[in-house]
Amino acid sequence: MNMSSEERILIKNIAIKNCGNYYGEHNIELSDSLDKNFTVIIGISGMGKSTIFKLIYWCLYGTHYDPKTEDTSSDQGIINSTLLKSLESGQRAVASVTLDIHDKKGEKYVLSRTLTATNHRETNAKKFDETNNSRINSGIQIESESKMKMKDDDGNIVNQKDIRLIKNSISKLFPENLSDFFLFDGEKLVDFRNKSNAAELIKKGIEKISGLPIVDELISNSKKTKNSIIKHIADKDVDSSILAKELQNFEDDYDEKTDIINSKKSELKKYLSTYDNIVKKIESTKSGKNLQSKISTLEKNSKTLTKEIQRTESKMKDFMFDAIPESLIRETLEKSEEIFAKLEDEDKIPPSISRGAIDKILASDPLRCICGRDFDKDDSAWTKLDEIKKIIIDDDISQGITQGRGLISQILDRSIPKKINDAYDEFVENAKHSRDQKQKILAELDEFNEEIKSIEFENDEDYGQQKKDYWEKISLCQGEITSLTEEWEDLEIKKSGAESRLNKRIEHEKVDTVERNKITIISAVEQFAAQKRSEIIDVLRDKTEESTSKYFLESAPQKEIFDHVKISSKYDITACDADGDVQELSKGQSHVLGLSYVSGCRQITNINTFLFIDSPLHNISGESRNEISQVLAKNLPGVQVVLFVTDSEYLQGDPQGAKPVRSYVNPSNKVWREYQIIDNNDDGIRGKAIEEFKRDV
Amino acid sequence: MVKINKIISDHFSDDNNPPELEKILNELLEIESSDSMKKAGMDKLYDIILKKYANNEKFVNWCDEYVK
Repeated sequence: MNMSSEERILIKNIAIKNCGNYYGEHNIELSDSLDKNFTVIIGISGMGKSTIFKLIYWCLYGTHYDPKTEDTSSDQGIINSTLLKSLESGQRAVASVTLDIHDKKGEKYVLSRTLTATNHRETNAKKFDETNNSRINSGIQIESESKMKMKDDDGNIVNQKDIRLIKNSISKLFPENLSDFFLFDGEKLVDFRNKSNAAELIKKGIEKISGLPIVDELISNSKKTKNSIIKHIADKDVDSSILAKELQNFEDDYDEKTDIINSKKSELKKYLSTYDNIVKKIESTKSGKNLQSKISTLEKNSKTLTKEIQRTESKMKDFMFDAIPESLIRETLEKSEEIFAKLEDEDKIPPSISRGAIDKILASDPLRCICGRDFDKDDSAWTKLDEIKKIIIDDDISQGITQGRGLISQILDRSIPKKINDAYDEFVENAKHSRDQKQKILAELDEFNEEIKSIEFENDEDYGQQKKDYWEKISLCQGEITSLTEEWEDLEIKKSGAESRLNKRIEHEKVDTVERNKITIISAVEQFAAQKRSEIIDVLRDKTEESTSKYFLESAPQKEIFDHVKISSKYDITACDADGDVQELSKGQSHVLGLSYVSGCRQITNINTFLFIDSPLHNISGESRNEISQVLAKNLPGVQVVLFVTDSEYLQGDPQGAKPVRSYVNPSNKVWREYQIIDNNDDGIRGKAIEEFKRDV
Repeated sequence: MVKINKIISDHFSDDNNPPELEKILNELLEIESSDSMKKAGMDKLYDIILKKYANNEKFVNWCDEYVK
């Protein structure tokens, strides 16, 4: 792996205090050298190698590498369990991990995670504690604190405690979803011997590297957003053209009606003109003039009566509109008023309660407050109470209730059935009276008009009959105009309503156009992202295949028999010869294929972070172990590598012919420093400690 | 915020497509990769982004042709 030193991000120092099986303070300085890039941590199985690995993960992300549940948890958590168990009531214990993170300029961040346990009470009961990832004594409470020394925007050193800001900064350097590629669990390499497990590992790996789940989320949320907008539009979708047509129909009818009315009005005008001429002819004789004068008076009275009848009918209509709803709610209001009256009698209406209480105090003898204190008659407290009473009576609630009841009372008064009947009868009587009077007048008019017929005019015209005929025509025409005008007014209301609906619709459509455009855009985004997703996954598979192939062909034992590595569309990984035939892999070759895959993926991520491998030789023995040791020794230049190995595999061979790993990596001058994990007994607490390993090969 | 792989951003960038498409995709990817933004409600955030481009007739027409 040839990565420029410019891009290196590494952990220079790990400080562990009272964590896992490490009691007290322990420091592990790691290599930042480009050449001697290996640091080795040696410990027998179960000694605490993986603990360090997991503590690094916890410190980086604030979450656990292997989160436990109530059912799967043990006593082993972040805080040293012996220390935790020894806590007496009121005592505290502090555990922490601190990582010094460096880039090419040196120290970039100092990240600390601290847990503080406090024993609040003695108890034998246990509980699961998520923060510590273990079972702990129920009396203990654990608090967590994160702190990162970093530079702010102005370049000043600050101690950042905001978890979100810390997370953001760390995620930029070490994305948690890619942690497998810098905190690698060697046990996973075993999976490369099994086709289906390897396929799953590679599929997940490729998705993690690419960030494809983000694209999947984008596609999914695009679809949801599109459906949401479609639903929003469908809820109110009425085409404006339908409303425009409706308005047009009303406008056509309205215009047509206006024309008819105008035509009728001009017809009426002609009739009136003819009628006036006939009247003038009649008035040209003395007897005719006399009769016409009486007729004019009667006609005037008739018009007045017609107006009176119209007014009475209108009043009747209004009266019924007002009275009917009130009559309908009368029964309910009567019951409400009964309840109010009952509540008032019982002093249960809010102001009465307070008022009643004050009255009670004011009337008490001796004057005694409800708190039990006695007062003199002239004490100012009583004046104050009187003022309070007045305020209570005058307050909004009192006013509101009083006004409400007043209103009910008015409605009840107006809606008495007899009162309504009497008022209605009066209207009917008035209208009848006016109609009778009008009838009499009309009868008189008929008589006078008949008299006109008996008048002899010079031209022998029957003006009396003509006048009667035109009067009928005028009345008919006026009736038609009145009826047409009512229809016209109705159309005007309908037209105005349709116009308003159309305008609103047009306004909506402006919004809908935007909404429809949004659908078009998000549909294109969704389609484009889906199309690109399948392209991306092919490219990523090809790139992973290419990178894995490169490392495998450089480092695989008996590499000359291989020509390339192939990752199928189902993510099966195979090593093939020049003819494309799949070759069976030895344990060592499978293991190297796994390491090549990790190296290949790291190449794709484009970040040269550290690579910590826990148990890189897990379950590997004999010649295979030698092969992998050689791979580790030869490859990974410029990458900060920390190997967590057992002392037997690192320092000893095995009966199957494996040589010590150290004999491969140390002579190649790759190893900067070696540490060993030892038993420790500090302050009487047994635990582990880390010390530099200085034994010569 | 999860880092978007260059392979994805390269695929989403195409000189033959309107620049608005790439801008939208990048904005949406930014939302999807940010935990804090997700808390604000995805539908609202998507809507805000779409609204910015909904009056761009030329781009809308391109999208219309693309989905046909």
